[in-house]
Amino acid sequence: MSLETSMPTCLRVQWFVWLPSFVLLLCGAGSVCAAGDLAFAVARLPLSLPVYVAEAKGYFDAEKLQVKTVDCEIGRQCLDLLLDGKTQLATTADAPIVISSLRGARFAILATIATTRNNKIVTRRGRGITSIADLADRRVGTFVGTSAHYFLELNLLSSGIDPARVVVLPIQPADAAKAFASEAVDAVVVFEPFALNVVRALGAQAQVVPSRRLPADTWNVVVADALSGQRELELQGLCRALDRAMLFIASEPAQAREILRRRLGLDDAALEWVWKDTHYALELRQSLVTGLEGQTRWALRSGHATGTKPNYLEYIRMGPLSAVRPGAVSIVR
Amino acid sequence: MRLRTQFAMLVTLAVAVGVGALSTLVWSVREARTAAHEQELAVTVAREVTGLLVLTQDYLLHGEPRAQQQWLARYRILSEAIATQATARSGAEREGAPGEEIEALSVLFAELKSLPEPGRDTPLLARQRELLVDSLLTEAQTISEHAYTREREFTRRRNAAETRLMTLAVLLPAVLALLFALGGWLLARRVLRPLAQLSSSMDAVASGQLSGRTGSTARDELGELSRRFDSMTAQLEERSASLRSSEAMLRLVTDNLPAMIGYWDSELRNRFANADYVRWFGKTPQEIHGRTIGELLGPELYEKNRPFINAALAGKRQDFSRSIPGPDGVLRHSQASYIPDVHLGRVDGFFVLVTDVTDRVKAEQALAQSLAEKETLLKEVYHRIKNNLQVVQSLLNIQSRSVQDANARTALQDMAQRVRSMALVHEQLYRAPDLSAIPLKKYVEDLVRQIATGSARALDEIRVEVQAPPQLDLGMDAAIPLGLLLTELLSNSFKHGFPEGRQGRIVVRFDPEPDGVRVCVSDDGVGLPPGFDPETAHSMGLQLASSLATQLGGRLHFESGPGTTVWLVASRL
Repeated sequence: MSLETSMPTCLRVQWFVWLPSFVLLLCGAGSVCAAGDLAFAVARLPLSLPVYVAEAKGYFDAEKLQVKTVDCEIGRQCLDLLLDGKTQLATTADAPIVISSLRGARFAILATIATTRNNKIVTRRGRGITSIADLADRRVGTFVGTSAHYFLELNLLSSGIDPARVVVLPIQPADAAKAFASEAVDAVVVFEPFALNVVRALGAQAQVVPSRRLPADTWNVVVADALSGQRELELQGLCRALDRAMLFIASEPAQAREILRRRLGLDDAALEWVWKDTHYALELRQSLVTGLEGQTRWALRSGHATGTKPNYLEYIRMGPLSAVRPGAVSIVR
Repeated sequence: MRLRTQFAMLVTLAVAVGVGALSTLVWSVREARTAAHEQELAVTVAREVTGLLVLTQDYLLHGEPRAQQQWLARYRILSEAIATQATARSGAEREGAPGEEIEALSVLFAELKSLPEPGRDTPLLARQRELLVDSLLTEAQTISEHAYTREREFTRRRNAAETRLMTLAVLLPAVLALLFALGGWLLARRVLRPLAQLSSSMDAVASGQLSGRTGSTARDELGELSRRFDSMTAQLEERSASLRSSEAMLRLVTDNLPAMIGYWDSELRNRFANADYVRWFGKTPQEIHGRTIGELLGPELYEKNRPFINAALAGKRQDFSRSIPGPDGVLRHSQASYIPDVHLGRVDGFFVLVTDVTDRVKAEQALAQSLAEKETLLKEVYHRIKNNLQVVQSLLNIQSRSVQDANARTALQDMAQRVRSMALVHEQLYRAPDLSAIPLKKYVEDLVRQIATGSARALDEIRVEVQAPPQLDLGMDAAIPLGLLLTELLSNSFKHGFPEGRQGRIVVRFDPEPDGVRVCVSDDGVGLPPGFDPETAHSMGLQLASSLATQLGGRLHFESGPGTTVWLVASRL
């Protein structure tokens, strides 16, 4: 059967018209004809497991994506890499998104890949800190401008403590344990796996202060503004690869944990410690917007950032995930 | 492949399809019901969360106790719905359940209520209130989104289950129809067609065409059956030919036997009749076959033969003669036998064997007539010989009385006695029933009586006793020599054994022995004279006696004292 006879009449007459257009459309999407590397800044945190699984299991390759992961320590650094144009993709939490958006940076959230309540308030025994209220007038170290900082202030407020009464000292993730050794802080508020590092460093002296339940932090994949409206098919492929990774984590948790253990060099106890606080899901939920707006108000009010509250709907790119898993998107625009 | 295997596979396949379809049906219905229930719960959760959000706003704006009351009521409904969801979930799903969120809602609302009324907020209170509201909204959204996700998941599952049910509804009849069609095709091609072919061949065989064959090469049971049928038909054809040949031979034999041969079944219908049988009754074979014996014999002859027929049907062989007119009207004589045909104690019929003995009867009648004539003639001959011998005896007696010489006279008297004994034989033969033999004992008794009479001695002086088996008869060849021998021996005994009026006893005894009959004449008289030697004695009487003994196949033995005993074993007696 010839090509002409196998097509509907309208298509058969005009195939020489629509076929080049279709080819051009595909090339414009960047998936078929102009496939290039996708640099992906991935924080070396357990929250990034879906990316590691997709890479380890070859799901990116299966989608014909040339993804190159770039390690970074925390989400804020990853987002900085993206904003510096060094990567097209990055993993990051809500707080860096809020801070960066208030500074006018342009990027888009592609999907949430995990939610977590893994911020911990750690102190040394004997400092008289057994509850949130005991933090008043104390020195508390944290990663300023991150979800850990936001977590500290919300806990203070919910306990009726004016955050201004707490001396917040900025620390770097690698220095959390050292801050206790130098007697610079009375407590630290950090997320995993740094909290575990502090606990292990303090040993028997470590004490995790009970915190109240707060809205979970989200762990997101953001895409550079340079890709705005482009490479839609590649981003869909990325979502499919991450979706397959989610299914793998749900169905083969032991293997997923093994991937995480090898990638981050975590031991079994550390894995067990961080695993229980994290929920992996590929989604774009309305709570993301709510959470971002809440943190935005916090950032503006506390002076961590200045500017106009952004409309976060403009920072969310729903198309690729909607195309791959429509039910995972509950945000309307 | 064998039919049994094929049908077993088909049935197994049908059962497997049925079980699979049933399992899928049950599973899909259960899945659809579960999904519908979960959808309902998810919708309830979403509705109640929305209600909570509205009531939270209502309470924040107006602080109405009614809003607080309704918030708590909706929260209770929401908690119950989520608890119900949690109980139905698998382990993995329970981990993602919004249990903590629902608990957090309650705590957050309680804390919100504990804050002073809005309007008099310090900056810290305002931020606290905002934090609580944000947290409450976020938790509520999480619950709502979870409900949404769950509703979508169970919608997907329900759709999948319904799709399975629809697929099953379409595929199952199609597969069953295919299986039925396959079964029907199998039945028609592998069963009905060979059966029709077999039936056709059977019809052909039933109609006598034994050359018909199915020619099946199938390797299943029906093929095997068809080949067995072909083999059986071939054997039947061969045996039928052999049977026809045997039947023809039987017919040839029976038709050429000089006898009427027939067979009548238990209902007295003819099943076989040979050519003579048919010819006797002047019928064709077709006219006789199947007719009753009564129709064939006619009422009169049937009545005569009925006792024999009934006896034959009762299992008893019947032999009888019958003289009846033949088809030409001439009286014919026949010898009939009714022989029962008994199988396992039951009489199925009887064979008839009728021999036309007309010629034999006529010959017998002629022979009987001739025999009667010869008997009459023989009697006449015996009678005349006897009379002539009596005449000779009378002449000898007359002559003896005229002779002066005592020796001559004695010789004549002895001769007369001998002639008399011969006449006595003929007299006995004349009176004998078969004219060829006479009873020995009676003959000897009569002879003794004559000799005693001739010897002028009263039998009360010399008693003579004859001892002989009553069944012993004498032929004519032996009767005359024996009579003459006894005449000699008895005459001597009367004459010399009892001199001077001596009384005594003479015994004539006949004893059958293996080599003949022992004849012994003994008396208790004076015995043989001293020095008597039968070998050297020259009397005519002894010479004659010795010669007669030889004729009878024996030799005389003389024994003396007391009395005299003479005996021989007559081998020709």
